Amino acid sequence: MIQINLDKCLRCGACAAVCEKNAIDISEFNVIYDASRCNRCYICVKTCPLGAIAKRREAEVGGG
Amino acid sequence: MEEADVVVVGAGPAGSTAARFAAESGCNTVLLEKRAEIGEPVQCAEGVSSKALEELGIGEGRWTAKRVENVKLISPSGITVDLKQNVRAFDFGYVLERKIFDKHLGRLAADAGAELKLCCKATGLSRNDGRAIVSYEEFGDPREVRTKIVIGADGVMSKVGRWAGIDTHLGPNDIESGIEYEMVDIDVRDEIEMFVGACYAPGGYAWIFPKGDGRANVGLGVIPRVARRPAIEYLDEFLQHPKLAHRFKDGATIEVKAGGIPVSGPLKSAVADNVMLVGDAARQVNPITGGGIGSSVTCAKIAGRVAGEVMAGNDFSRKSLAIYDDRWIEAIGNYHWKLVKAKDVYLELKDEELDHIAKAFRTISDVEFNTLGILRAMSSTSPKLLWKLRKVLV
Repeated sequence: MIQINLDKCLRCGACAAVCEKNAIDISEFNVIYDASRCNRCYICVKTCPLGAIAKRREAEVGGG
Repeated sequence: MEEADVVVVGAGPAGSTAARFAAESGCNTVLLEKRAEIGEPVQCAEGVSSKALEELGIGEGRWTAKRVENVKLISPSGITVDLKQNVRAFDFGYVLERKIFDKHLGRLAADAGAELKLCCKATGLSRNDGRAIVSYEEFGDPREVRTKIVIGADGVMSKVGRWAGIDTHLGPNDIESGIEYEMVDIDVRDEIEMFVGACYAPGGYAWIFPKGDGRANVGLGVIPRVARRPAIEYLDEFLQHPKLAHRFKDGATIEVKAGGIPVSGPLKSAVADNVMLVGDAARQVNPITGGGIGSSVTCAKIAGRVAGEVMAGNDFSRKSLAIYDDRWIEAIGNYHWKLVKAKDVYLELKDEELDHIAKAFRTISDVEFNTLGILRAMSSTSPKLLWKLRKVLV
């Protein structure tokens, strides 16, 4: 699971480009993360140029 | 339902160029752009070769910020190579104003007869009876257009490619995580500077691309697999580098740009039934330099013309569009696949080895001015490098 810091995100789409499972959808304003598709490879965390994506523990998911 | 011969998705340089040449070849062409402005946001260091401008039939203009007089390579320990001194006929080209450049290419598409539609976001693709149906939202309202050919120019996270069933997946070695500040009031010359080595940017390089009058794009790209921190932290460190900080200390940043640069080498095939991919969507980017405007517009021009050629028949299948694959692979594909192997070698080189290469390279002259020519010259300085690059240089 991941957490995207929307204030740090520039909507560049690098994370969506490397996501094998199409779990991230970026548009001009919106960032949609589909946790049910995420396979926890965390390539997106390493790829984000701004460091806006962090790993999130499974237990925290329910709280949104 | 609307009807078209060709629908192009994305009005970057590749999309506008594909639309322009499709329209010029007589196709009824629609160019969809999801944003409210062509040329925004910029995700680019903005370098372009003279050859690419020639390919587009344009020269200097409001879209060129600065002619590049030299390319300087800087090794980890600070050894510099002025490529102008080493190469046979130095002609890099220009640093662009992408916001103006992209709009101009959009205009050229419109002049050729393409219909530009902004605020139109493609949302899906289906096929029926040998035709494609592109769904899109115009200012949020759902629309559909039935077309013979779809050209996907929708960038590094191409949805058209995914919808068409083309494998566009990028691994953690296949993308440069890029970040850039456009800065003013800094100490820059009319030369591009490329700082190589893991000490600056693991797996990639840091760059300064001059735009004239103390303004430049200062950025870097890192390979996620080998980088330990986000790209922006390496860039902030670069600006504080003991040997460079004085050049940036009075500067201000007027724009922050970020993006993923596909350096996987191009797709094995950029076609599917009714679909061609161009530009970043097809990974038509030099995997060593990350430069993609020249190769993208070259391939986009081919795609636009191919659309014109097949329009007379009634076959828009993968097989019929395969001539696009044949031609772009010949134009840039084979060359880029070679360079991918060189990128893998670069990822293995240690900073000391880069210093050694830079030192030896300074003495070489008459080098052919392209990526392969420079690699060939570099490998002549080191038997070890020559061995590693043997598959690239054949």
